[in-house]
Amino acid sequence: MTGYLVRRLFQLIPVALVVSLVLFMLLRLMPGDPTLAILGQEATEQDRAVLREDLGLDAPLWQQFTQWLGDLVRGDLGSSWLTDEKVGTVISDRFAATVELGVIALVFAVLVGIPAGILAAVRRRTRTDTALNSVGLLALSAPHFYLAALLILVFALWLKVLPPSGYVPFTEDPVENLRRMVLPAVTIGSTIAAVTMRQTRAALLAAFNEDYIRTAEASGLSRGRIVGVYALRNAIVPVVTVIALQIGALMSATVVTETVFTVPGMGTLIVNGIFSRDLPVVQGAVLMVVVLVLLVNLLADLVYAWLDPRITY
Amino acid sequence: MTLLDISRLGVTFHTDSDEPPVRAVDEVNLHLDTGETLAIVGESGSGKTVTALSLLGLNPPPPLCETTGSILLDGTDLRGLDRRFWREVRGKRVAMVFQDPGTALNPLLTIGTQIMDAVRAHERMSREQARKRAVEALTQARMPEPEKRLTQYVHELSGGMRQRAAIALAIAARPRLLIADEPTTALDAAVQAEIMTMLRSLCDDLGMGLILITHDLGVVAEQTDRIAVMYAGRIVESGPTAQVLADPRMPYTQALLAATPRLDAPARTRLASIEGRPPRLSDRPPGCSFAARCPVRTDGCESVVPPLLTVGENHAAACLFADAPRERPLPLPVTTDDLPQDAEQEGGTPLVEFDATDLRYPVRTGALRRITGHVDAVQQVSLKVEPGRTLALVGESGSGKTSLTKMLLRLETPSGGTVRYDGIDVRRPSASELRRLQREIQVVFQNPYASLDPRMTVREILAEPMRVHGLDTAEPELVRLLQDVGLDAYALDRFPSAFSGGQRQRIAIARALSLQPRLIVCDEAVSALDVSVQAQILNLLADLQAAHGMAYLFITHDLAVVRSVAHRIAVMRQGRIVEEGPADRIYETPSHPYTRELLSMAPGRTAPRLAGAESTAGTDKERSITWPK
Repeated sequence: MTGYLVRRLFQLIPVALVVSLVLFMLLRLMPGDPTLAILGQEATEQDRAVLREDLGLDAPLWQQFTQWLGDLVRGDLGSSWLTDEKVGTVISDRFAATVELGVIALVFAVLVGIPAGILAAVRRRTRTDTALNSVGLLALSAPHFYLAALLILVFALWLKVLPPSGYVPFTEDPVENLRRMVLPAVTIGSTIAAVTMRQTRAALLAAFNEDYIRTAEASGLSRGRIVGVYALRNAIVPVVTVIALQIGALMSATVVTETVFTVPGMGTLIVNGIFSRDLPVVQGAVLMVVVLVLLVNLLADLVYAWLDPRITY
Repeated sequence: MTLLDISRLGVTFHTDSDEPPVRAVDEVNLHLDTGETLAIVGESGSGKTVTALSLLGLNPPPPLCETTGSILLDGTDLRGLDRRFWREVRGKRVAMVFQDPGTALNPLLTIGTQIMDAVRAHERMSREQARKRAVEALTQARMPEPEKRLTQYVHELSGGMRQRAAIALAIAARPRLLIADEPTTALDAAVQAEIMTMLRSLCDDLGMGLILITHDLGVVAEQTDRIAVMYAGRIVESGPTAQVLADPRMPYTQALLAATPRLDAPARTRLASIEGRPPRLSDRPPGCSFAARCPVRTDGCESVVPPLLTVGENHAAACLFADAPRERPLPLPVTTDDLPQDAEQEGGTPLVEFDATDLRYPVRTGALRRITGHVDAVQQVSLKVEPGRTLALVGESGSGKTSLTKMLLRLETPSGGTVRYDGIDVRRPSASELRRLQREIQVVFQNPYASLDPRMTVREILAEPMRVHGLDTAEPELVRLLQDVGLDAYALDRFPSAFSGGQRQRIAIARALSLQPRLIVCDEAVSALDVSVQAQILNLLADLQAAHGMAYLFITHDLAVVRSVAHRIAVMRQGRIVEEGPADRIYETPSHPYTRELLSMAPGRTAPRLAGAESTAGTDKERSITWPK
């Protein structure tokens, strides 16, 4: 197990390297000169040349990359071109909000998706099943920005039960923090909940057809125990896979959603960074997100081994 | 004392509103006393499992499935019980052991949890008490180290131990009636015998009734008191086991007995197969269901459903001629044709030659996946397959039979020694030699349901390998292939799902034949088939060999099965050949103790035979059966 973990962690290195390279190059391919974005349209050619030299932009691309990578290995993500703040500090200020949002969205998705999936499977081909599937399909197909606007309209403007946007740190006022997290978390979590529900339903229905379920029925076990333990234990493994894969989607969903709800998280940081051509911030933030997604998927693999005794690492 | 009394049981499935209902069980009467053992014998689709499931209320609910008649268990009618009451029957009064313990036990729960759940579903007790009951049940099922098994998962147990665990699970709540559905089919011969003996003595000890469901007449002979033979959803013969097997009165029972491969049958002779296939249950003929396949049918058979006629004490058969006091020709296809003699004699250049071949799989451990050891799948095997002849490779699961052939098929690379095919070093063939290997060696696999692509028509299945090798794929060519394996041209544009297991295996054989191979590897090619179909396929393989002269490398775990086809036999155990020689010598004077053990364990050995059909039957073409007065 430890050996497996070490091996997997080492495997992350080449992945992270390739991601860094692609990321770095992609950002350099963006049209527009960063110095224009930083100094404004009125800046003179001379000022811009000075800034370009200052930021190291006159060096060849490969040199810029190795420079950045070298700093990265030493734990230095560079400084913001705009504010000169350390990128590491900027990210750590924003990371908490995004992680909190992601975790709440995930908890929502699991708490809604798995029970809904179980219900749909147990009541397969009934009206309940059809209704759940329809709601799921709606959640899957509604774009986040649209769903966000709809939720704000209903819960903030009409019902006036939740604030429309904004962010209060958890340490300052936990209740207000959670109140403000509800709508963005539901926005992001709805898609994952729908995917989780569909996967749970399908996996459970497959499990119901297995011989061991018939054995359990033939032993006189209660319906609840058969569904909740005998079938669900087996059905949950593919559900974990799907949820883990959804983490990546969740991260991209935060970009839009945080902007709509003005949550000062990684999403807004990346969006603002791109608009202002603050490339070091974007690079650092995206890299952090990538590493987070990789780690979550590694965690999912470890969860399999815990769920399924046949899997050994 | 009467334990179970089933009368006029009928089970009808309404699968699709467009299709006629399927009457899977029709007018079945069964009776079982406390402590008695009953075998229900029949081929797949005969309704034996549906009958068993209706004792547990596990057939689909109405309107999908309708059950009529009555099922009295200890005097209570089980039919029409509501769900809550069924839960009290299941496990507590009637328990069932399902066919394959590998899939019948939950893979993610420990054996202990599953058995304890089964006990606690019926009796209120503490975890500790339930644990004790689980150990008790495992001990009764003769499980070695029962305490240790509680915390183990099914994948950690061997095949035999899995079946013991499944049986322990079934008897844990102390049922009155135990149903075992093909409890030994997935097991090796030696384990099969142990499990059967254990089941029988378990019933004696616990005073439990036992219903044993099987397709294998060899298994039932010694272990059951009474037998009921099912065909197309009806009971066609029933009575005391010894009497039914010694003096079967229903032509179907007779044919089934004759088709069962036997160790003491004459070597390399045709098996008595039952031609045709059972009727569709949704479209049953008005008279006797077996009439279409019956060699002694008369016009009356096709209009009247024959009632069960009493022919002896408790012995009844559903045939109009069951008590006919006259001599009749043996109602079987000719069983005595010697297979055509092979032109080639032993001693020529071998077609395939394994020379001191090894196959080792590395075992990797630690963070760096370093190779820390090896598993020897095949060790120092030297073996020859002669052209145009059949070598049977016999051994139990895990003995290395399949690993050995994988090296010939270039699916594994030998770790040592050589594998040659017709002078070609299989490990390093030139480009043209490789094409020859790929064309001249073909395989027929065990499971015809998995080995044919369900989305390809038979035409595509047959033509694909031919196109790869640039052969003519014109219609007459494909039709000839189908005719070779006993199928009609109409099969060409249908999908595999339209065919039965035996027909699919014929298609798989036709695919192998399409490249005019010189060697066909048959990997347990008949193990998944019903007895009567098995005989058809074995006869077909022998006929094809006589017609086309290809060699067979026949992999099997069952010595009786290859009796009719093998020229030579090699017995494998733990990766080594323990004995090899001409088939007759192996059957008559096995020299290795392991071969003797295999022969004594094979279920076919004790299978009773038709009255009058002595071992000389192989040469007696005018054989007839005398019907008792």
